[in-house]
Amino acid sequence: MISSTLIWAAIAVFAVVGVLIALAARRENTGTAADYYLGGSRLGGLVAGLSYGATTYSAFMLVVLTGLTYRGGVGALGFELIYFAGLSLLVIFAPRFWLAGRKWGFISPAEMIGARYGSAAVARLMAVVSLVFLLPYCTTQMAGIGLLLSGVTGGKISLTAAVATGAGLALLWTLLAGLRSVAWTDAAQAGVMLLSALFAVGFAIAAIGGPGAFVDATLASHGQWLDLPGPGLWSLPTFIALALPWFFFAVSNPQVSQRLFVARDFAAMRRMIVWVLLFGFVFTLIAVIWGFAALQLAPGLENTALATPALLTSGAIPVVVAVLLIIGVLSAAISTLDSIALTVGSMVARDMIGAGASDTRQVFAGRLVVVVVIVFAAGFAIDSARVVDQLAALSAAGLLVTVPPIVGAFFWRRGTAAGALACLGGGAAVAVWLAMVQGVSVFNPWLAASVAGVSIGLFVAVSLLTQPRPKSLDFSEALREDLALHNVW
Amino acid sequence: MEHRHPSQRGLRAWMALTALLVFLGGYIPYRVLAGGAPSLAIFGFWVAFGVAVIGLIVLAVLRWKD
Repeated sequence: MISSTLIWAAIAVFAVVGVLIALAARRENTGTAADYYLGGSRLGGLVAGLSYGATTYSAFMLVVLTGLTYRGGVGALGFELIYFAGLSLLVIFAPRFWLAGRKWGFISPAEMIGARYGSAAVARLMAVVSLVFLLPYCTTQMAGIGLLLSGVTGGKISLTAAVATGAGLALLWTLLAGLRSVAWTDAAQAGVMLLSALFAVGFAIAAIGGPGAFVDATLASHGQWLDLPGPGLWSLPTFIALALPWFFFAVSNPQVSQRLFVARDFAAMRRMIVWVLLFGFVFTLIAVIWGFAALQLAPGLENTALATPALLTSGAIPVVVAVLLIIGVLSAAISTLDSIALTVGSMVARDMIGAGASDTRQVFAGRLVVVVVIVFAAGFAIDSARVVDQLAALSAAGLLVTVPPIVGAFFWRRGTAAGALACLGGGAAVAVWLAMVQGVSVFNPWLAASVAGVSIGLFVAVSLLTQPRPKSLDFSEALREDLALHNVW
Repeated sequence: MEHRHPSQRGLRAWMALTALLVFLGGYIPYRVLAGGAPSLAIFGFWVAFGVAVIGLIVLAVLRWKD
């Protein structure tokens, strides 16, 4: 076990550095809603990219993905890399989001989609759907912190204390300066995540005897884990069930798609995408290799979500490195949590209260929502830490319902507000009914396929039966010249 | 006869290539590489798949004009 005093000391240092960064960010804020929620859309490529990466790659990686590798082997790598391949959607959507944001001053993705279909109801429903499905995802970040800190200290840091710590830091960094402080702390946290994980994996492999010995030991003792379906988890249906909704993550999850508004120019957006790719690929490999290392150094775990704490306390990882990685996982969780809270806050401020309200009111409303989201997620995490895998994946499947209206916004003029409303409402209802009432597991491809099928079907059918509203925007026509100017497909 | 804009042809080709890559990302490990003697083949394939994804995306964004 690792001394709880040492961990608290490390968290204190981490918190102080984070607060200093957030305070520096606060000095740059101008007080407008656009500045609070988007950093004035003046972020450079490096900060935007690392912030995007830290938001996307959460505690899920070193808690759940590592656990899935421990439990099922190499299929976890394939699943995560199919998600990674979903970043290709940025080639199509990043410039369109950015140009639309510049042209009409959108702050939230829901606001943009509502304007496209000429319906505030579409924006509101999209905000509600995002809220419903993102809360479980927030909870997993909290649960990840709790599992890790209580796991490595043998329960000396309680789940409640761990969750409260994560919630407190996320609240502080979000409330201080909004997106700018979130992005700046995200960028710093991305560095901590990557460096700490690289160090930890390096020490784990060294403890096994070096890369060659690690491969030999894995082939000898866990050869089945390098095959498919592995020891049982990664059947093809399970792979499809998890990979399908996650492929669309870059578009369906507003906390990352909102990042497409923040780059200061096209060059910054391109650099942002390249940074996300590099960060994501390396971090994915690390999380999976870490899981394989745990199989060697901490075998026989029943709860595979505890693979990371078990490996950290196995004696193979120097305490300093272990503490650094704990801060890395804490960073991963907080950077995702505060981004989600801020995005949900912006959607309430813009889509519920309305862009017509004063900046002060919009920022105040968003701050209030941030507090509610984080407190709710913390409470839910304390009650339900064991359902971490299911909750994380359900959010991805549920948010699939936002994809048809987003694709239609740019590529199908015939899409209507009624179609978007039917898609969002009907698709979300099906997701909740299947998962919560019928008990269909997120490991069953029927869940994601049904949600996708129903939402696409409703969007197309209802759109064809109704007419576009007079005040709807024509994105494809309005952005045509700008897209050509930037040589965007 | 329909004349497509060159950039639209480029987009379609790129999307087709990306879709093919994603399909192969599932098909080859499950239908070609699975079931053999324990090896790093599947792991190595997916690493190469990730590199190919990066290449495709970078190729597409490099053509953007600032």
